[in-house]
Amino acid sequence: MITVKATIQIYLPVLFFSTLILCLSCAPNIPTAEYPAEMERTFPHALDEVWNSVQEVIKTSNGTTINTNESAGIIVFYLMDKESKAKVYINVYMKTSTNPNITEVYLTTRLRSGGYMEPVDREFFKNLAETLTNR
Amino acid sequence: MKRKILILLALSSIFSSLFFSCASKVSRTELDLLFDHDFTGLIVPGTADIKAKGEQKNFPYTTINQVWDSAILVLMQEGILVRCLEDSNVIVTIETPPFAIFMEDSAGVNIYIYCMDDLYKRKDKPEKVEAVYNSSSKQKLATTFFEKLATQLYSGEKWKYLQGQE
Repeated sequence: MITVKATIQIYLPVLFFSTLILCLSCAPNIPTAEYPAEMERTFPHALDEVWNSVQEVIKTSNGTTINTNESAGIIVFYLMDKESKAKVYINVYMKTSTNPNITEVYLTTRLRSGGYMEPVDREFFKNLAETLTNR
Repeated sequence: MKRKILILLALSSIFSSLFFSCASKVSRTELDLLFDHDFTGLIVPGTADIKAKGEQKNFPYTTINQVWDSAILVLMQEGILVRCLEDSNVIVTIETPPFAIFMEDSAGVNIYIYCMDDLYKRKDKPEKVEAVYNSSSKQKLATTFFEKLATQLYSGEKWKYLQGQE
């Protein structure tokens, strides 16, 4: 015959650790950046060249454009994250520098739930530089 | 024996409540549908609505082009730029909460920010909303944005009132 005291002694630690595990599993996983985000890069090309190259990079990376405004130099698209299958939204803003043959390109990445820490920016700028060189 | 059963029942109810509190909710909002359909069908608030219902701040000694440029740089770090309408000077950013800004020339530039919290309305029950933003939280959103915009806009600029004193 198990007494009430014994029952509590058995179940109390089980309840405590189960609650602890549940709380920890529900806690948000705050990612840490492994390298500083690269938000801006300049390219020694005119704005229209950079604009066309950005379109090519989006196409080759299977991106889906959700907002495009050529006169404002803005393209917003998303890629699918291979692991989480989440949409990674990428804002790209291009503008001519003080020199008309130099274009500034700004890039930020977002998930619906917040920031995105994978190195999309590095990959994007690398592909863009290659595309511009090969033109 | 009865006590043992009662303790087990109590424990199981605690566990079930913990599990259900962590489970995702099934109710869908207008914002969920916009994400599903890549923001096609998004209704951009009219400039009259943004002006009437939004928070406003004047930015002196600047032009609408400079404000547009600075606003894009700030907003792209805040969320997803789903609409950038140059003809009406309206930008819609999807953040938590989503918001629209409108700029107009007026002794400098007037900026209005309008919280689009109506996108949190449930599709099945439009009278219910998943997130409520009261006037103080909207005010806080506006203040934060205006501060960031001012920093971006005026950083590196010589204070205009000092011009002509050299």
